[in-house]
Amino acid sequence: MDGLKDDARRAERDVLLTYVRMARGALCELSPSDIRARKLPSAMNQIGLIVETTESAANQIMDQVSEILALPGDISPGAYREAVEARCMSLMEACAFQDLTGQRSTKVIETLLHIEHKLGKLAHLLGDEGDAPPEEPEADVLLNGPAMPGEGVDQDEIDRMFG
Amino acid sequence: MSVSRDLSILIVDDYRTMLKIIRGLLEQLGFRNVDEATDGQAAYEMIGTKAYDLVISDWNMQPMTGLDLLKKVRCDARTAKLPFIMVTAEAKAENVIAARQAGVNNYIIKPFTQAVLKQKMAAVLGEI
Repeated sequence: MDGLKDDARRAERDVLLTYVRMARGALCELSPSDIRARKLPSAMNQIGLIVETTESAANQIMDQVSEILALPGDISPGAYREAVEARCMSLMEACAFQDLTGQRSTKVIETLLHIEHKLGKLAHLLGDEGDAPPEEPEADVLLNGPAMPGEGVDQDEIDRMFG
Repeated sequence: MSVSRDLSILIVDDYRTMLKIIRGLLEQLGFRNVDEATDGQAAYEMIGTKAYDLVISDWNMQPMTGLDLLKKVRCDARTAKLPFIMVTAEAKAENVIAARQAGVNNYIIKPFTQAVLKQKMAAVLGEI
């Protein structure tokens, strides 16, 4: 009788052990330290730079529009056209922010998808009966994307490389 | 003598805003013969059917990147010498070196001004 109870306890303990090992493996795979130390700070930097870039573009656009509105009314049509065209060029250049912030947003979305995938896998292993874990996101759609401050080379350095 | 404004230019970028910006800057410089593609594959097909004088391409695009487009262009005897400028946010030195080794004629970092575009085009094509 006692032998049967021992067997049942052993089986129950083995099930628990397997469960704990699986959960530990899933937690390990989640790499919380990597997410906290690398992925989240990088994503937060990208969001900070998105804010900075959009603010800078908005300021550039507002400045150019203000300058156009402030052009004196008594200049020649040729001079007026020249002044407006120069500022329109600057307006067009400012709109490049959309490309750069788009690429930075893609980097942030990649991080969120990575975390969603890892958490989904963990929840599934822990018996969450909800949705199946999301697919592993495609690794690095972008190569590096726009450089972070202090990283990469600037146009002058590139010009020297092509000099 | 400055280069002809009739040059046929292909611009390649997956951001339509960027295509509009580059087209606008080129038009202000007097270049109106401009075609657009939104990725390397589409651009390569266009290059196969029309003789372009210059390609201005982004790097990060799917399904074919600007670097892969450049390599394909350089491998084809008919287009091996086609002037090619990369316009990209990829600013790591190793990226620039990889593009240079693949045969890019010049490299512009986004964001850029019309003056920079004009300067690099002049370096590749001659006085503008």
